[in-house]
Amino acid sequence: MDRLDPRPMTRIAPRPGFLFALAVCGVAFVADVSPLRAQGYFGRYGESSRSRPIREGLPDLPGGFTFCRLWYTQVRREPGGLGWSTDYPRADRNLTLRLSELTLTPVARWKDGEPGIAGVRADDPDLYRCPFLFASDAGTAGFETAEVEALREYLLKGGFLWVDDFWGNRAWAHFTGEMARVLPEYDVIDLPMEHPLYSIVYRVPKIPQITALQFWYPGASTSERGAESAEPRIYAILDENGRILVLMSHNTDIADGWEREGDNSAFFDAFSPDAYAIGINVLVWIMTH
Amino acid sequence: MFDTVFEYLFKYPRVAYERGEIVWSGSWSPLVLATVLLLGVLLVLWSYRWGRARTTPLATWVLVIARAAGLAILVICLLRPTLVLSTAVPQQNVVAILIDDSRSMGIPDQGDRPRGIVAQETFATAESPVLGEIEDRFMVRHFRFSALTERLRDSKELASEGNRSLLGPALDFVRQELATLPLSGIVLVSDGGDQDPEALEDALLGMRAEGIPVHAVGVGRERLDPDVEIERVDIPPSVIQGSTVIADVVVAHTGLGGATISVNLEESGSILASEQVELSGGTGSSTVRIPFSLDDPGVRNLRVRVPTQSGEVVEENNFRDTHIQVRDGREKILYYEGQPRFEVGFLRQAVRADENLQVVVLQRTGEDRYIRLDVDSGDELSGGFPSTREELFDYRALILGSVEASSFSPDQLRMIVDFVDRRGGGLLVLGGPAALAEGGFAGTALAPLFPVELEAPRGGPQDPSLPSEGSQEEYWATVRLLPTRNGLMHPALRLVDSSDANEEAAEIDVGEGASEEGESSVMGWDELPPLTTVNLLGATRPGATVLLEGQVEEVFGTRTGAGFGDDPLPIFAFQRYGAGLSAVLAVHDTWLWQMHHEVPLEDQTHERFWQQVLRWLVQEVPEPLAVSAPNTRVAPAQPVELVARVVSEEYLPVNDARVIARITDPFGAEQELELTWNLDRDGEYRGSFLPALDGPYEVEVDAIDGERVLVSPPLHIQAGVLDEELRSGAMRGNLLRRIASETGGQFYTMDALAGLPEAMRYTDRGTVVQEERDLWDLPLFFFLLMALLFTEWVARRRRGLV
Repeated sequence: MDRLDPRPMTRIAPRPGFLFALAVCGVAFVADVSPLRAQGYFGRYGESSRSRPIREGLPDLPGGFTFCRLWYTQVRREPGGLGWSTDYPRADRNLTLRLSELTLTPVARWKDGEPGIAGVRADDPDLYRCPFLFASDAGTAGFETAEVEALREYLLKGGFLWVDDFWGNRAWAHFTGEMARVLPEYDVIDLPMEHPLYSIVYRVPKIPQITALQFWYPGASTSERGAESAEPRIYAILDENGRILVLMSHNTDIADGWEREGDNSAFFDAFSPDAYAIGINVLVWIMTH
Repeated sequence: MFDTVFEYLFKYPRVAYERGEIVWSGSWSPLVLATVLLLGVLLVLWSYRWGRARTTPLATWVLVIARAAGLAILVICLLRPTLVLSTAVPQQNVVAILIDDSRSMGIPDQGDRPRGIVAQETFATAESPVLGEIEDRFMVRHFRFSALTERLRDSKELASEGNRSLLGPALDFVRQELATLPLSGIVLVSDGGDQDPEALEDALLGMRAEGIPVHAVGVGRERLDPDVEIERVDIPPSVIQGSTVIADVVVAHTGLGGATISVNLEESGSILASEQVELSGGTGSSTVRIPFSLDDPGVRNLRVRVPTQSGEVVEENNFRDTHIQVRDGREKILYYEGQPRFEVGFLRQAVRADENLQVVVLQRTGEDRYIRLDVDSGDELSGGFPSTREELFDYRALILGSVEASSFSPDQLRMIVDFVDRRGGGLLVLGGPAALAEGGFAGTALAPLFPVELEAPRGGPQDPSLPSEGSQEEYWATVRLLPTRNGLMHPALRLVDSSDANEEAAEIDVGEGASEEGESSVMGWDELPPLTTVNLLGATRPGATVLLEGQVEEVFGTRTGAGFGDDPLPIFAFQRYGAGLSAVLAVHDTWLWQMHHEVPLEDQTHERFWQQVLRWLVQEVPEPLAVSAPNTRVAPAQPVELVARVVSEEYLPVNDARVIARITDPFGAEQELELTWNLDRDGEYRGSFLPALDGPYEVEVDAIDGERVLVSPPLHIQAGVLDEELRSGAMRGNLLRRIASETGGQFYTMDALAGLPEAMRYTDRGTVVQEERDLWDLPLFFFLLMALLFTEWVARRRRGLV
């Protein structure tokens, strides 16, 4: 286990400068993505499932971090879920931008200047150029045999998969069943809050339960499956050396904290800082481990 | 033959003329003789006038010159030339015969007989005619020498068993031993295998000063044919366990040109590694590099050997022993990365299994925000990049990632220079958008460290003439990395264990790499996926070595000014700088060698590459107390010189330390020796001891510098019989010729000793008399006169003058 800086890490939420920066960026983002909105790309406010990523391949200028989303086949449905494209592409884009703003990380870009986000199939050779892979609504993913083998090789070589936004027991059982096909020899563990991932850049004292914006209103429960999904947890699959191969944020939708940062200021205040804190911690962690 | 003819024509041997002086002893006045000669010539000219009608001018001149030359010879004879010589009075002088009794005299190259036996029969037995002739004129004293010199009481004492040949001390011994006697000269009977050239020079000075001629008799053949010899083996004194080491072996040979032989590296009789070398030319030497690795820590005794070749007379020079210290422990390396990127995580993962490497990562995530990984304590790097030399010098190597020059203070940049130059650390600069020229390092104190010239980037945001959209990140190239010739054999790039396999791994279009060589875990260089570079490097500096070149496959983006061309780019290069080394690896995604879809899961190229590079980076980093010995293998009675170098925490020389060597002999007995500061060199301390026993000695040195106590790693000395004596088996005629020439003696070989007794007579040393020997009756004069008269007679007859 790495020995980390014992200095107290700055918690992201209480910093007014950070909130201000996010707010400014959020406004800028909304203004910036209006052409996309005009094309009907957005959200669970009228959001629809996508059949393919908005761009083919990997970013044209790969001089930095690329946010790769797993473009999987949806084999079952979860309420409110849109399969692989859940929270896509705004969550991916926003986190990539914030990563470049809140840290010194260079990010890949498309020729038009858009941040480097991409969608890849598990059996696409481009997958191996993305050491970071993200999947949303993971409880609906189903993998072909070739995809299982490719994912396994990807993860064992040094790749990393973060799955998010899967709620309740059925989604859990389905996804862990799929992962058992990919990495049968490894157990799923509950990643304890003492793990240095929670404090590598920002100190995250507890795992936030972030819900979909349309599900949320101030003061209401954030559990999308009632008592069954009341407790958000982060699980992980580690290899024999302690490297995180798969991170699973269960009963929470961290990516919604990124996706919705400009949609609702109250939602932003409630969830986005924690969502970004975890997101940036995870990204920096996997880039250094 | 020449000497025989000379002696016939000139009456006396050549050496007599070399030693003697020619004077004119005639009673006639030279003036009168000159007048007679002149008149004679005029008379000759007048006498040929009447016959001019029947001769040509040329014939006339031939007749005149022949007659005049004859007259001149007669005049010379009338002047009575005399050779004045200083010769030893018979039986009033001493001659020392000094016979080599070392092991090399046992080489059987005198026919089939050993050199020592032939020398003994010629110079130490009563039946010897040469010795008899010498004894007719001189009192003879016999000596034998090898490492020591002593009187030879009985010729049977000569056994050719001495382990060293020390010519200088032997000559000194004889000179001093016979100082009170009229010593006329020394006969040195040897194959010339001297092992202390410095002492020989001193001895020759003494000989010259006292005018003692040394007549050198070379025993043995000057060229042993065929013969192969391990002439030199160079390996680092210590190595991290498991690292690949290259043994540089020089194989010399005579008469084996064109043969291909195996050079084996052995330990306790087992072959650790082997390489083939093709010997070139009739005589010469070839260099072969043998890569090998050792896993168990401690002192490892190694032997480099070539098999005995058919017809070889000397087999003892077919091997050479050496040893290496395999060290355990972790080598601490600081990796400072200015931008979060996957290279960090993958590099750490690549060296994770290497227990000898500790890569401490200082990852900058934001302005003044850092992550520290694998630090030893909570304080380590708590303030970011080290701000003092003591802190930085705690590491043995430094990796700079994509971090811009402006993030360092001027003093930190100078510290990095000192880290390499003074501390002797290894510096590796990785490529990246904020590295090298793109990171603004051109013109900084760090720039001279780089093995390549840095050119100020154009097209970047720093260039005010260009729009800001022309970011450096938007100009990059994919390059396929291939090792240069230097890189193929470099320990940092030893992806496979055999050099042949490594070369195969480098061959383009082979398409199989090392996988069929039993190295299934490593890909060939040409099979590895291309990487990315954003750093444009300038020319390689003089003295720098390029290990990996990048063949440009694709260039992306646009750039004003110089860009990536078609020529291979220097990607991985290094140079020595001061006490350390500095390297550049101008790519930023070596992780693709681990992740790429064409790289098999089980492939170890990425891991092997980084482990080897980092091990190489720290391999020769000096300690604050470094102890060495010019000779770690010594013969009996040969002193061991110890040299210690002490530096402060800032690696500045310390001249007032107390430096104590603890010497443990083969039986475990310990003695202490204080090393004293060498006034000529700051921080250097010297001392020597004489091993009394054969076997391994261990030397540990403590240096006390104020409150600081430094302890050196153990130094191992092997005392005992050396194989040096037979190292160069051929007789060293040139050395013996020089000894004779510098002392006024003569050089002889065993098959041409006839002139030796005579030559020894002519000496200025000892009890001598002056001899005068007439030269007017030289046969040479007679033959010349006859030839001139005959010439004149033929010329006159052809013209009808007789």
